[in-house]
Amino acid sequence: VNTKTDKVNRNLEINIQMIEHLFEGCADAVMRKLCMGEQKLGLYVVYMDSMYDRDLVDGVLLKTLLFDVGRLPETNVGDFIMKHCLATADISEKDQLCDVTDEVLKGNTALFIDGMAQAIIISSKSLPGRGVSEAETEVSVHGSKESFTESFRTNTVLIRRRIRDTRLKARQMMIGERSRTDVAVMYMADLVRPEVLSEILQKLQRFKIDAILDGAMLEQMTEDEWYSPFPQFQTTERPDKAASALLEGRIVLVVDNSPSVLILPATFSCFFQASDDYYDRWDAACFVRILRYAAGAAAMLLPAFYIALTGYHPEVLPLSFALSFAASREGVPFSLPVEVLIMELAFELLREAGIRLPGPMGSALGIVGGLIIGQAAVEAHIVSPVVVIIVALTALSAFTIPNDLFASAFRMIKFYCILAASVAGFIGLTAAVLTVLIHLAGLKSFGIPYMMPFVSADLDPENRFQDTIVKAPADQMYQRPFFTRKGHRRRLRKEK
Amino acid sequence: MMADNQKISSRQAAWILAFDILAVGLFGLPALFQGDTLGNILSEGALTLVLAGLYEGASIWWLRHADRERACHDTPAALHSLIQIFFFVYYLFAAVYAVEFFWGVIDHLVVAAYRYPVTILFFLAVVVYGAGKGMEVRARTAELLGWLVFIPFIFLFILGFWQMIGKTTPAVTTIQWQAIWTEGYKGLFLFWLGDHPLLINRYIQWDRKFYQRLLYGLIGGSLIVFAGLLLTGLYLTPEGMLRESEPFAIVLQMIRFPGNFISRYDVFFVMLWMMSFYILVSGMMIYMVDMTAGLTQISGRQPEKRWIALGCGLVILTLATIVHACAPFQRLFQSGMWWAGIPLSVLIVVIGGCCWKKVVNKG
Repeated sequence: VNTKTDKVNRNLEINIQMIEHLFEGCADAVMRKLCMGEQKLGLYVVYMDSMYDRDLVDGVLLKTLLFDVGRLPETNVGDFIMKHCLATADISEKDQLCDVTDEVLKGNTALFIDGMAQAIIISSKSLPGRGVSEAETEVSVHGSKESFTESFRTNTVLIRRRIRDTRLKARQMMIGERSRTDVAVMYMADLVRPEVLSEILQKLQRFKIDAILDGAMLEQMTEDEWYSPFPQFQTTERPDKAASALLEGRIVLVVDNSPSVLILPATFSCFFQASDDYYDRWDAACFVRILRYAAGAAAMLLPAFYIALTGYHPEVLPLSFALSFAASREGVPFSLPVEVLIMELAFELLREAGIRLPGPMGSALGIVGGLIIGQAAVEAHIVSPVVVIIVALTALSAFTIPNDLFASAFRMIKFYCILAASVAGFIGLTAAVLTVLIHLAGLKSFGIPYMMPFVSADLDPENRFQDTIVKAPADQMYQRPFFTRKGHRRRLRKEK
Repeated sequence: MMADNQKISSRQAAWILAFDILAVGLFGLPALFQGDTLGNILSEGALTLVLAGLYEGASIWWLRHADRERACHDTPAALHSLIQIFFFVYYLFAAVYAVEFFWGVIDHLVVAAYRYPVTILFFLAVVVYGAGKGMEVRARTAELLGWLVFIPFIFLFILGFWQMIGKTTPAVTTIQWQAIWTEGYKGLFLFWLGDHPLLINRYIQWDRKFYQRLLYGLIGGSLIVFAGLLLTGLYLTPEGMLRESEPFAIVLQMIRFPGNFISRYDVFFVMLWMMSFYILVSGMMIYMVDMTAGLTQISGRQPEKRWIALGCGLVILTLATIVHACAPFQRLFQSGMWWAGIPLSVLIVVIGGCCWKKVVNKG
């Protein structure tokens, strides 16, 4: 049997042979031959166990087919069955065997009828999975508590529920030669930039891979600069954030089995935005936004700054400050960079262990690590108390960044800066910062400069800073950001 | 889609020019006018900045109205190559001079902390990395660094002037006109280190606010440099300036910020200055890469620009090390740079004039 080219046959027995051959050894596949009506018309039903809606298939459809139909017409039996015997609107016909098996493996039910060269596909998916639960990594105080789940259709529904507009389009495709993962490209037809849409569609079709098990894998397969520590897609587990991105003219990729969706294009400032910023009071939101940017800088630079300052330029510190720094290091056998690196790595270990351990144990580990190990290390003169404070502040700053992948980039660059500051003090640190800035200036996400609107401001002359370091009040944000197609930028109109 | 077309906007060009002026003038001008009266220092500084601004602005205006494409087409290949070689040599000398200038500031400021090779290696590594990415990324970096560098300097100068209130200031009255003109022209040479109008002009995209933005950039950079010069004169007095090889660095040490968290801010401001200096030197490197690529393309090869940037970086590093070690070479390189710079600056008038004529004739 060639699953790629073979078609459904009119002869039911041939179809049965092909299906049984394909599903040979698949214990979870249910296949049964049935007879229907007074003429004993042959039927063949195929579905996957526990992936189908038992009430619909067994309780309604099969019961009707087997017990409620009397005499069948002489001709067009298939048409008669589809129109009169199947009590559901969501059915389709497939004539390719590969399409039929794809549908069955998705959880749908395939119905072969003797004498019919197509299989009827009845949508009967009922996959096991968790329900919609609270967002865990993007917690919101005021906004919606819902988060995406692993169910593809639930995720698209969660978005559709927020944008009841026919201009919200969802192009669906399957990626993965073996996983056959459903991927939906969702966008607002009138707002999306056509060139960005065509680029992502091209990129999705450009590769062949065994399996896409999560959205992150798709991200890695389609991003331009794989070596960059900065993510070029935004991920979110919040449906309201995805809906908001769609309304800005961005594209959302929903991947089956992934509890978060991908948003593109993504720029530097997008990663500092949290849902609460839009639900909170304007002044509070602005304050928190500024705090996050400062925290981003601290997460990257603080330890390196400390090394450069105390290791290379203690003269710039006030005398009392310099003396207290020196006193705190008394008895510590390591050099300053080694001391900072030990503490930073210890913290990274604790963080990693905390994530892998179950919830309550993980938080307990954080407390144990932070307090007990830190204090013990100070008392044992392995590190100085100032370094513990610096590392704690750095960690706190990194946690303030709303996106975990983005925060990881800052954590990686922190080590680069530490290294540069250790070798060449402020000169090294400046050089390191410059290389990061040059990298950021050159980075693009689907053709849009990553540092927009801080760079290439000419491309977005109006209200470009309305949602960056500070956020304008909602009733002042008249324009959509630069992601939106030209000529469709107006999002707010007020009566005078 | 914003294509990677290596074109820059007028806003980005304005930032680049402002950085050029800042990078060269902030430490360069106070050191150049040592030993003069305060009146002369300020007048010479102002004259230099005005002349530099006028030269840059007028040259860009002149070239913008010329039929450059036609000029490139009509220039004989040999002459074109000769001009490219000339530009390459000029920027090679200029880059070596800039590296020495950079080391001079760092060395004076933080004598014990750094060693020459480490400092130069780190700086050149960044320059090579940035130059390998091309003009578009350089322009975006300038835009990104723009307010990040300028705002702290504005704060610094406000605090600097604030702290001067109530203190005795040296007299500004003595002015010797002859010296002003001589020194003013001498200072102008410093600003030739920046982006040559003939080269940067090729990258800039025309827009409605082109001249307005260019003017903002030139005036903004000049004002910061002039404020630095004024503060140096006021804080150190001309006699004090004479004793220091980098007078502005001393002023940075004297200005205090409220809060007493840090007692000296000179290191941080030198970091910011290093960022602006990167913009300047990366421009030199990009033009050198362009010239090399242009020359090698004659033989039909398509060179990889980031490798050329690395090669140029290594050449600059070697020459800078030799120049740093041997004092006679320093003078040789400086005079070589000036002599190469003069014909290139005159070239604008010639090329602009020829093309202008063609446009008029066509029109």
